[in-house]
Amino acid sequence: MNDKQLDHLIERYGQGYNHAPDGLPIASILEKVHQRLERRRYWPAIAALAAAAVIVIIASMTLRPRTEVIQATQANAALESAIEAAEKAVRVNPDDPYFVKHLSAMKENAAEFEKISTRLSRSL
Amino acid sequence: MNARAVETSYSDEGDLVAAAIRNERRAQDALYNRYAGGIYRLAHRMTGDPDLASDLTQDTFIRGFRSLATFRHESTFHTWLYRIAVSVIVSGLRSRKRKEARHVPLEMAGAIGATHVHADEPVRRKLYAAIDALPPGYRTVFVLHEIEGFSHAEIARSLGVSESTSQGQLFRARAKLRESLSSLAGELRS
Repeated sequence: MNDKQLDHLIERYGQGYNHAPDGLPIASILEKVHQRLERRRYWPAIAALAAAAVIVIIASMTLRPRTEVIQATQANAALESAIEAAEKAVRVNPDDPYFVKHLSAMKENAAEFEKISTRLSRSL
Repeated sequence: MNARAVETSYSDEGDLVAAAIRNERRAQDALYNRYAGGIYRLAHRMTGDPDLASDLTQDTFIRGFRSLATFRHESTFHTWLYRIAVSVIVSGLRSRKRKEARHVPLEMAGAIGATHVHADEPVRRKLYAAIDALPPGYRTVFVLHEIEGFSHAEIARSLGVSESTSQGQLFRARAKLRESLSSLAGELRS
């Protein structure tokens, strides 16, 4: 077959090749286009929400030990003040078993707080 | 408001496109109604599959509407959208690997592409089967150039190849067709 014959075939029958049938599903396609565009409009909001959730999780994991250290330090400071007050009370009332007993207990607690605080600081 | 009324509410296609960029649904619908039929027919022509053609028409408009802001009016909107359509259709064909199903031997051509019974039906069927049997790259360029009337420059831009590649593929597609259809030579005037 030569070029001219091929051109003739294409000219005569080419437009019928895979010619779409009547009744194109144009309206249903438009509906789907809009559905997909709508979904895509929400993507930035969903992505922002997901990013915010991740930030909150990471922050809570990072900040929790810091918070505990701060709480432990504050508790330690409060305990040290209490110890000072108890020591003063013991000095004023050296024979009072109540002050002596609680001064001893507070010193033990202060040592325990110190250990916890040190451990938490190292874990950061 | 029907599609025609919407179209007339914008003074020209530039206004319609500008409104579509602002996400005005009426303008998007008007552009869709103007071009969807042609793009569906192009997709159907290139795939031979109504469902795939429908999906690719959807994909074309999704991509088109989402990248409208990049439309620089360097070409007509029609050209710009059809370039997207060809790109979507070609990648759709590649990704779905439908090409295997399209390698139909000539003797099994059946009713592929035939929509009307005609006295010269055997000739028509042989031509369509020969086009179907072309390698996908050749067939794409052949359909776009010889049937859809795209220029080599347009095909090159749409497919991301050089014009000479497009010309070369068309040359080889035609050579293969001449060879496949050589049995018809005697029936046709030269």
